[in-house]
Amino acid sequence: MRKEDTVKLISAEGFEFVIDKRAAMVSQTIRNMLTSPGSFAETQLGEVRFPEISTTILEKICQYFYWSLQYASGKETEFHIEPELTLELMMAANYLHT
Amino acid sequence: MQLKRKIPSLVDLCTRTAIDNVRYLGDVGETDLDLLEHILPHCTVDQLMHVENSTMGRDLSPVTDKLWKKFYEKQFGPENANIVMKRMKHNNVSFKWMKLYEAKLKDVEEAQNKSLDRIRQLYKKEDACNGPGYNVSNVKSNLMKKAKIEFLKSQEVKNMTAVKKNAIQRHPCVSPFKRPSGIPEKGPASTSKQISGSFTVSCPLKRNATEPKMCKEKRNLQRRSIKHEYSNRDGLLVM
Repeated sequence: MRKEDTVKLISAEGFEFVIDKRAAMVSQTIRNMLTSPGSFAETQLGEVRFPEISTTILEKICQYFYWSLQYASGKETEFHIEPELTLELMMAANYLHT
Repeated sequence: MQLKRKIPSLVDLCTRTAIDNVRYLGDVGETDLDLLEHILPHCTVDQLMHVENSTMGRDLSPVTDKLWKKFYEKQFGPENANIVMKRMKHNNVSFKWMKLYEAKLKDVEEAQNKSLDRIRQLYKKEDACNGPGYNVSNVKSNLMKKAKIEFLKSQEVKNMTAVKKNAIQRHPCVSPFKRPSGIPEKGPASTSKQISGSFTVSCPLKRNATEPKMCKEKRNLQRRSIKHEYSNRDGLLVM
């Protein structure tokens, strides 16, 4: 993967998730951060920090991004969510507009 | 972007999962009220109570108050709910529906316990009347007194009083089932049914209806035992 095609998402604990830009753009919030010209530092560095989102949740979110791309391309599978993650994941998803 | 519309959002997926697992919900932490609006209406009374109690330091009533009102109306009737609302308006106070629900539940429980206690008292009184000692005050001659006491001591009469007691005690929610001591073979004529199986429980209010029948039985037995005593002597029958 070329660097230009990826973004880095950083969790509260400092874990770095390097994912496809297309995947990250599933989130409206991240899309806005990366596309609005020059107003966010993130555009330059190509990385976004989420000090309020834990590693487990951020990982699940990245999984959702890829699942979403897969779904859009026609492969409709089930996205399983562990019950214990539900509320936290829901709040993070709400924040990320995804 | 048509594709976006087809894909379920993560928020939707989470909401669905939460609804499916609503029975495991406890402390909802800092979850947005807007999100809770979709989930909490799927709770039962107990589940909602659990969520409210587990979520400490946070007031969920913007979402839950209307849910509690619905539960109140369902459980206690819309008329009661209206009365409560009128009272609150009249006194210019307002209480949360969750508190109102809990208070009403307590009232109903207390009333139930009171009436159960009253029933227990009534049964205790009845038992005390059927207590020890034989009532022979209505019999005049000494010989008759002796005969009556012997009759009352006899096994058959003991069985019948025990059965009568059992009928009272078998009334639901009063005391545990007590088997009458020593019912050997079938009792006298009229009660031809098997006692342990199909004995019809007589309600306390109806007991008097069965009394005359039982008394008649006693008198029949009495006649029989006296016949036995006198026929050996003179052949005279004393009633």
